[in-house]
Order: sequence, then structure tokens, then C-alpha cells
Amino acid sequence: MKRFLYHLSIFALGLLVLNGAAYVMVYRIDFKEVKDYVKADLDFDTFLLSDSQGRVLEMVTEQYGVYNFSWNNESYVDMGRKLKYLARNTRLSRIIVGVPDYAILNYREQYNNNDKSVYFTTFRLEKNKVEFLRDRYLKRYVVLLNARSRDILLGSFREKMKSLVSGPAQPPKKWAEVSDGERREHALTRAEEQYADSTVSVRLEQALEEMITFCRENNIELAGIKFPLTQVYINTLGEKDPGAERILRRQQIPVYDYTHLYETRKELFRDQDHLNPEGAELFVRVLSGEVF
Amino acid sequence: MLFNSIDFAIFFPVVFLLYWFVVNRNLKIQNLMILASSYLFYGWWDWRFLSLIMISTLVDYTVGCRLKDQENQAKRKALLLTSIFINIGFLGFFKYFNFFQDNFVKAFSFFGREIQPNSLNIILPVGISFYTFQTLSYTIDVYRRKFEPTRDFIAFAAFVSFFPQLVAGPIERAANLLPQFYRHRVFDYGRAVDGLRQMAWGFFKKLVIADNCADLVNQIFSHSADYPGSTLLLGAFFFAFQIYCDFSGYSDIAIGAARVLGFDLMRNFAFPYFSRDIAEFWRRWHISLTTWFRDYIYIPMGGSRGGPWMKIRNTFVIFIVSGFWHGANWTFIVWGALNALYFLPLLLLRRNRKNLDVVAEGKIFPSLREFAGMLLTFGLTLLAWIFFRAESMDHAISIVTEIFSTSLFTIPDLRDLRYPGVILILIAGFTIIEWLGREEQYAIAHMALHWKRPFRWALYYMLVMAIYFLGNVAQSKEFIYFQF
Repeated sequence: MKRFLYHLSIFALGLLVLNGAAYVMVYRIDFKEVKDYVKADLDFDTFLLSDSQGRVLEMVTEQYGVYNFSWNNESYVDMGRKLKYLARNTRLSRIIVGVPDYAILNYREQYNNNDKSVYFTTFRLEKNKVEFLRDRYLKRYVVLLNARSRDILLGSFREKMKSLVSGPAQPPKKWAEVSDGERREHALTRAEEQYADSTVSVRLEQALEEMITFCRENNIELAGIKFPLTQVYINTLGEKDPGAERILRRQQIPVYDYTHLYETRKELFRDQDHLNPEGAELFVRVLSGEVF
Repeated sequence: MLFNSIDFAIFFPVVFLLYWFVVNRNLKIQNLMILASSYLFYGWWDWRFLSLIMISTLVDYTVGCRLKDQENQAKRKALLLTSIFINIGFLGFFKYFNFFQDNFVKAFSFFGREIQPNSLNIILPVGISFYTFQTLSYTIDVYRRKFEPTRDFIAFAAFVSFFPQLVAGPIERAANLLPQFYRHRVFDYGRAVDGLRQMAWGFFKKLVIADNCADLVNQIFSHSADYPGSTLLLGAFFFAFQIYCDFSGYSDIAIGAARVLGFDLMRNFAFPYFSRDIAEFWRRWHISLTTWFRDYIYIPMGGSRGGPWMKIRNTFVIFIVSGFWHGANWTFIVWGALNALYFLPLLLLRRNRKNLDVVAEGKIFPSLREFAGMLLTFGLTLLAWIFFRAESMDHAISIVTEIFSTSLFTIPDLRDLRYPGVILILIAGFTIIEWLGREEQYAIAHMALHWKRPFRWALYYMLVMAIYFLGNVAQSKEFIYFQF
């Protein structure tokens, strides 16, 4: 046994060195993102919580007294953690959440920020302690067990190789300048990605319900918002079950639906389901009159 | 709990430490610890299903004890039937209830009678087919007086639920595994290292080969109508490697984990894709299930003795039952029947036991004849795998029809597939390693036996890095055989 443990320790030491090297590389790239992710202006009392659809609004909302606390891939589990954090640390009175149709599907459960939003919660607050420890410490420090860190490394490596071979990356074509065929193709790819598995995630459903209950118990006003989409994407999606919206409406929580607001205005979009800065500016002005 | 999850990465070292350092002096407590950790491992999915294992354990333990004391043949038979009825009853209800009901409804509507079915939303408990067969083999062996029943309930319960092989085998025989729970287990360096090595190889097969193939297979099979025959054939090829690496990878992890804990499990795969005929393939594929069917169904039915009609009947029964064991769908039944059709000519011509040795033993390359045999066997299994993977019979037939059309000779459409070239290179590299190690228990055992330590360790680090960088680990994918 001694021999086994000795050899295992030496081998583990080697793995530790590899893990350390990977950690340093991942940390360099990821640290900035985590730093940005956890940054919040706690002087506000109204916050927007959404995924990338809300994130594109950037800081424009601040002019109207709403802090945009959205992030790409944000799920209701992440938003729930942020909500409780805000309730503990701010004069929170109102929360506006994004309610796209895919918000409670397995897709969103798979692509989330659980390993980042864990910074907003504590061991005591989390129901699933094992998951908390796994996300907060294991995934963070044992990068060899974290698929996301691998993707970060590979992504950065690929980008470097690409820029070495073909020079700096060209900015993507503007959505309005893309051909109709290409637009349809992009929309289809996106729809297949988001709705490949249309199963409702019980976890996300529960997380949203918990957010609603939490807001009720703490006198926080809650509202839902559906962001504008392009016509091609609306047509590609067809009829989808608006799961999150249904839950909110059932609980008599207002949902502002702007899906069709700019459907014919290609020039306001970055891609099929995200506004560009110009669209964001315009949209926030609409929100300021009707929602904020 | 999945082997390929962070949970298991924590669970296994903890079990290892407790098992060898805390409870190593007392056999009973060591067995109790195996039982507790096995229940935790299984309950991680859904603790409610633990009740099924517990009932199964209790029934077979009691039946085993009663069988020992019972001399009256009729009563012995009644006891055996009780065990079979309860075990197969659970399996039948959870796995086949909706299948039989749907088919009854269809049959009645064919004759003009409409029936309103009471569809039940039944969730299939993970691994039920595996542990049911394992406990059944115990009772049948005790009934046949081939095996002395145990009075040690903890040892028996640990045997039924032994976590490394609980959910997807190898399906162990009581004669091999149960006595290992009676013996004091002493830590052995060589066995533990070998176990870890086999586990690492299993993880590589599952995460790097099987899970990467899975994405391509899912894309091709779920959009089969959009692809030409050449791409569909490629999809079947990827599936052949997906299912092999998925299932044999699981077996490697299971056998390796058991070895680390001082147990020897039976071999489940022996490089089946290097088989020179279908009979050899079935001696090398899912060995624990094939031998189970042979010993408990095929031989009692008369086996290959008797006239040609009896041979044909028995062969079809065994393969169709095997297909049905995999799932409640006609596609599995057809998969089984196809294999029976492949196997029958060999059996009738008495050529089914021709290739018992390892192909090209001691040589680097196979002979042309051996190579042709391997290619033909692989081609036949590929065709059968299409039925195994397809969603329905219509789906399978449409794929096969497209493959046997002129579109087979077009350039494969790879546009929507993620890195098919990289995965083909990985498969090629993997096949070479398997070929080089085909005379050992598992492929990299060969390197471990003949290489010096620095090279061996370099290989282990490379495996870890390959899993990290090439493994499809974004979301732990379940093993295919969990659904059976």
C-alpha cells in the first residue's frame, strides 16, 4: 500500500503541476470576465436580469435608473442567486427579468453561469450544498475537471492560431447586409441550438417560481420582458411554448412582449435575436416610457 | 451517479480511502461499506428506485435459503418460479408495459376494435435489466444445485448492488463474484495499478471516442432524411464506434474500479470488431450477457443439439430475446433477428467454432483472408446497428434504403457535423492501439506490461490530457446501456 500511495502521490503531483499550469492560463483569460460579471452598482433600486438578449442593452439603461445586471447565458438559477444578493445588499424595489421562450428549457440549463453566479451566494443560502462546493471550489481550482475551462483554453488557442495564419479577425458582417438566404440559415442554426431539446427543465422552472415567491415575500416588484426578434427568426421559430412567460402570467406578474416591435427593421439587429447598439439605444427609450 | 461525473471523481477516492484504511480489518464491515456506498451510488439517480433493488435482494436471498433446505422438487420449483415471477415482473412492468399495451391496441384496431389504453408514465429504473439478470442467475444456480446459497445477507446484498457493475454490468455470476465477498481482501499493488489503468482507458474510450461520435450520430440519425446514403453509412460507422466505446468503456471502468477494491469481474468485451465471423463476434461482444443467455436459455432449450429445425428455432429465440432485452421496440427485435440470420449459416455448416483464437496471433498484420473476414463481419454488424440505433422500423428502413441507393456513391455531406475529420483520425488511432493490444485483456495492458515506467507514465499523462482536451465533457453523457 505504501508503494502504491507513494507512486500515486508522485503521479498526482504531476497532475497538480499540469492543473496549475492550466489554472494560470485559464485564470488569465477568465479572471477579467469573472471580475466584470460580479461587478454591480449597488446604489440602484431597479435591476434588469437577463441573458445575452438583455446584455446587449449594456449600460444604456442606467440613464433611466435601471442597472443592467444581465450576462450571456444567464439562467434563472443565476438570476435567483443575484436577486437574493441584491436584496441583501441594496434598496431593491424592482426586478425586470427576461422571459424568452427557451428560458426554462434544458438548453438554458446546459448553458448557464452557475460557476460564476456562485459568487453571489453562500454555503448557508444554497439548498444543494454539494453543488455549491463543486461550483465554488472544485470547478474553480481543479480546472482539469472543468469542461468550461478547457473550452476557454482551446478557444484562446484557436484564436491565436487563426490570427497567426490569417491575420487579425475581421468584424462580422452587419445583419442588414447579410443575404436573405444566409439570414435564414443563421436563424435555423440558432433555433436548432436553442430548441434541440424542448424538454422543460424542472430546475429552472423551480428557480423561476422561487424568484416569484421571494419577490412577493420581500415586497419586490417583478416584471417580465420579451426582447425584440427579427422577422426571419420569428418565422423560423413558429409557435413555441412560452414556458417562462406562462409561469409569470399565471402568477399575475406583468409581461411586456416586444417580440414583434422591430421585426421588419433589420438595421437594428446584430443577429437574428440580438439588438445592435443602435437598436439597444432605441429600445431602451421605449422601455423607459413603458416599463422602467 | 455517473462514472463520468465530478461526483464520482469525489466518491471513488473517498470510498477507496475508507475501504482500505478505515474498515479494512473487518470483512463484515468492509462488505457493509460496499453495500452502503453502492446504495449511495445508485440512489444518487433516484433514491426511490433503491426499493426495487432491496426487494429483489430480499426475495432472492430468502428463496436461496429456502431452496437449500427444501428437498421436495415441486416446492423447489415453486420457489424458483416465485423469484422469476417477481424479478421478471418488475422488469416487465417498468420496461415492457407500454410496449405490450401499444401493440395490443394496434392489433385490436387492425381487426376493427378500438381500445382506449391507460398509458402509464413509467420511468425505467437505471440498470434494472442488469441486476435482475444477476440475481436471477444466483437463484437458478442454487435451484440447479450448482451453487451453495449464502447465509450472509450483507455479502449477498453487496453482491447484488456492487456499485462498479450495478447499472451496466458485466452481469456477474454468483459463482464468480459472491465468494469474493466471503474472503478477506488484501491490498495488492499490481492489481490496484492495473485497475486504475483500465479505468483510465475506459474513460478515454467513453469521453473521447464514444461521446464525440455521439454528437455526429445524433445529428445524422435525427436528420436522416436530409442526408445521402454515403453520410448515412458514415453515421452507422460512427455509431458502431460510439456503442462499442461507450459500453466497453463502461465495462473497463467497472472492471478497473472493482480491481482497485480487490475484486475480479469477468471480461465483457474482447476486441469484437476484429472478429473474423459473426460467431466469433458474439463470443467477444457483451460476453457476460451472451453467456447468460447461453447458460440459462439456449442450453436448457436444447442448444445446438438436435435437428436443423431445433437449431434454427433456438438460435432465433436466443437472438430475439437478446434484442428484446435491450429495449421495448421492434427495432431491437429486428436487430436480434438479423444477427440470428447472420449466425445460422455458420451453425448449420458447423463453422461457428472455427475462429476461437486471437486473430493474427503473434503477428503484426492479418492475412488477406482474415482481413476480408473482419471487414465482412464489421459490415454485417454495421447494417444491424442501423436497426439498433433507429427510432422506429420506418426510420431504419428509410436509412437502409438510402444507403443501398446510388447516393451511396456521392461525396458525404459533412456540413453540419462537428469535426468529423478529427473524429475519424481519433477512431483510426484508437483502432491501431486496440489492434496492437488485442492479445491482452484490454488494449493498453500491452503497453503497461512491456514499457518502462517513464514511458508508461507519459502514456498515462497523455491519456489524461487527451481526455481533458479532446473529451466531450461539456455535459456528462449517460452511458447508452443505462437505458437497457
